[in-house]
Amino acid sequence: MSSDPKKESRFERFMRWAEGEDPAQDREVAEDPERAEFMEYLEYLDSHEHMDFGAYRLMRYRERAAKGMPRQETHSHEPTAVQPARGGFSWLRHRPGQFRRQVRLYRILSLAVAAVLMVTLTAVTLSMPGFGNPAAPALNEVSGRYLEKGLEETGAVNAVAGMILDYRAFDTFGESTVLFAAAMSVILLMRRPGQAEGEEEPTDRILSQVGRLILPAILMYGVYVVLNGHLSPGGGFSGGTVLGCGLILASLALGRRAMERLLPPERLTHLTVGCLLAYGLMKGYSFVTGANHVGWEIPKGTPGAIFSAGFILPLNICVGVIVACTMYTFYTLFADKEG
Amino acid sequence: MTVLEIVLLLFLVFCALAAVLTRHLVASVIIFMSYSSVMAILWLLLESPDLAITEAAVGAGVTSLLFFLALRKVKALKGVDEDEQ
Repeated sequence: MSSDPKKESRFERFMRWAEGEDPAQDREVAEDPERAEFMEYLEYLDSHEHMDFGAYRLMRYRERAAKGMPRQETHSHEPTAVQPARGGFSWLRHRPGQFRRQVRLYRILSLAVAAVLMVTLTAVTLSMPGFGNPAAPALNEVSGRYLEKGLEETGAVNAVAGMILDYRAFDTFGESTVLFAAAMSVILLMRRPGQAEGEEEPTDRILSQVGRLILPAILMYGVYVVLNGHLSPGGGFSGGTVLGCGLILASLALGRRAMERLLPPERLTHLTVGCLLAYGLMKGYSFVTGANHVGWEIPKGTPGAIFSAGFILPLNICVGVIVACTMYTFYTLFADKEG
Repeated sequence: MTVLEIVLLLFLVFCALAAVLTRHLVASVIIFMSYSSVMAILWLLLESPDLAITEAAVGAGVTSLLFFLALRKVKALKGVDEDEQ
């Protein structure tokens, strides 16, 4: 091995001890109980296919030893590399028995922080104006206008849809963009080419049959919530989530391959991008007509009819498609077993 | 405040504490699902059905599903992937 054992790193010495070829060791190496225990540990790591840092180092060491170059040309693990802490940071160094004290200190501090937060939040909640108090600061002219003129100005019977898709449509646009960005990041990080193959058909018969049974009801309800968003409670986000759940259930019940044929990842991306662009175009139109009194306003229609409320219905559809595609994309990307 | 609301609110607090304090991760996620379902009913009683639909779909549906996927990723979901071994 090495002619100069003093320049050997601590790790190398340890490895030669573990392999049972340490010449500096006086006692019989093969009968060393600590070494036997260590070898048992290594076998445990091997059999469980579990890789921690020590096992990784051992693997690299064995590879190097097999190639006939046992010395590693690195200096990071030399004993001299472990410098004692200098300057004013010596109190940060680990000393025996310090850890227990730090844990106790950490527990006391976290309890104190939690208690302070609890007291503050409770006090603030108790000092807030009561539910329905007419003097509450949140009850200003904005919400009054939404409630009084909402039907006339947006044409939506459901005041919430009129708020989030007409008065505050850019909020919803931003939310949809955030969802889109999240989906794209997950696709960039987790999608690997050719991963669509090798996905077996569903094996659970109960899940498959019950899923086929209730799937139409779920999808129908989602479509209803999206399309009826300007007339009844619901809207793009809630209906899109229901649709996304339905798609996930379909993927579980019908098998991934059938869903790949129906909704390949490219089509999901195209749908999301198309809906986002359509949303942006429709709200960009409001820039031209909205406050400028140009006159090309969208006809509001009869309040209560399905084709009414201007752009709220197509906006609801866009948001619903974006949300459903995002949920389903998350599921397909995270559901792979070897991910 | 009706008796139903008081019962639901007490159950809500119980679910919140149980979801945090339970040791079993799968049980924790299921308790969280029941928390979301009760919260959806409470939204309905507070006259905001839009939030009720969203809470039921997101809280009880998608979030729990993502939790289960995460548990399967870290191999904490026992009895599901046994057939592989």
